[in-house]
Amino acid sequence: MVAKPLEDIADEIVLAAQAGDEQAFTRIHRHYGNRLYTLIMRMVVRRAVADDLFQDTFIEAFRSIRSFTHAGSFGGWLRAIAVNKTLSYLRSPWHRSVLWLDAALPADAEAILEKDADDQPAPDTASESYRELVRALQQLSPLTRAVVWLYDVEGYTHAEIGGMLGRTASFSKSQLSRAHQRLRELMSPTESHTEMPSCASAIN
Amino acid sequence: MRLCDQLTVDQLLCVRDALPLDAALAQHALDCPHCQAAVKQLRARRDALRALPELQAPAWIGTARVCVALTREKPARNRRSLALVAGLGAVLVASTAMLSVLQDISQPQTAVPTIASTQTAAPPPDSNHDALVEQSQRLEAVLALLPQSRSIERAGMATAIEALQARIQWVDFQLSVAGEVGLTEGQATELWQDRVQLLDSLIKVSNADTQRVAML
Repeated sequence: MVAKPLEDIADEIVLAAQAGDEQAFTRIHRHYGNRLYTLIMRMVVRRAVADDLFQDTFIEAFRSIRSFTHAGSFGGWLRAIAVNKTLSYLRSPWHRSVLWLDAALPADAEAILEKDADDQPAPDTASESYRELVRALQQLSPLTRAVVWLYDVEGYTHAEIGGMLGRTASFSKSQLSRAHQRLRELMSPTESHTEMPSCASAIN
Repeated sequence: MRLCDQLTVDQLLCVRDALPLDAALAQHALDCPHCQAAVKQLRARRDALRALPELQAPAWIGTARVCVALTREKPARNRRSLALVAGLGAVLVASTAMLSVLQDISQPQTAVPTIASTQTAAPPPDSNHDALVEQSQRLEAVLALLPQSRSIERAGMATAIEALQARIQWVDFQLSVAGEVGLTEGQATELWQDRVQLLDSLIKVSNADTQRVAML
């Protein structure tokens, strides 16, 4: 299940890049740049970190482009690099220390995150629900946010996500469940606190 | 969070994504209007996430920047390799020296002249013109293999390297006009000898600097 398949670039361009053609690199960068940046930014939120990971992704991709065997999709290969880089960052002690600093200054951290999110131009059609969803997503814990994005948007399976995180598929499932529960609370607080009638009473 | 008495969010997600679920629970999800509404809500949230617009990648992180970062990595890797080779070389020299000392200690007195003759087996500096030219070329090749450090932080090191390079250039100039000024073969050979010694010094200084940078 792939929600937003990456439209692959022509094979000739990949072959040219593998032969060291710098123009081909540029075309690859242009073709996949926004999509990969979105993927990274949605998972890490912080713009400065996303910028670094984005650059690292392309450095890694261009460095090891000759190892791409054309057996699968080139976009998928690139995306895997971006996801691995991002998850490695989220699991790193450095990231945990940043979170600790954020926790020490919650007001500042929130302001930074909101600023980073607002720096991106909102589409013309941006509604309050769009902003609400983005804000709610930002308030999830990093790993939970990564899981919900990878599963619901990128179409990775629980087994794949668990594998990438060095955990089990069950871990991914529980994180997804937690994410949706939290999103529901954040996006419609009145609804989540409303007493739901039991099925029995509904059926009766 | 239980939306009704029967299904958890986890199970509702299974319904949404058509993942394996206990048959009784799956049947309940079909029959229960609350669970159906909850599944619909989960589906709508997933669709909303997918519908979020793409973000603009920062323009300043273009291919050129990535390529520059890549090219900066190469000298760093070379420096590490060179440091490794230098380290292995040092270990080899130390081992040989240790072995010689041990042999020296263990050999009877009569064997000493033999060892001494082996140790002095290294050829004396070659004064032959052609051999010097060839040696000079070899040293230049070695020098070319050394990474060009663009960030010599110690002024003393930078001065030493510049002085050696200037002296080599001066020798090269003298050799280039040797025919015009009528240098003798002996004088030319002396210049080539100087060139070899200067190149040798330049390699040693540059190598020391490379190792220092690699250790940082």
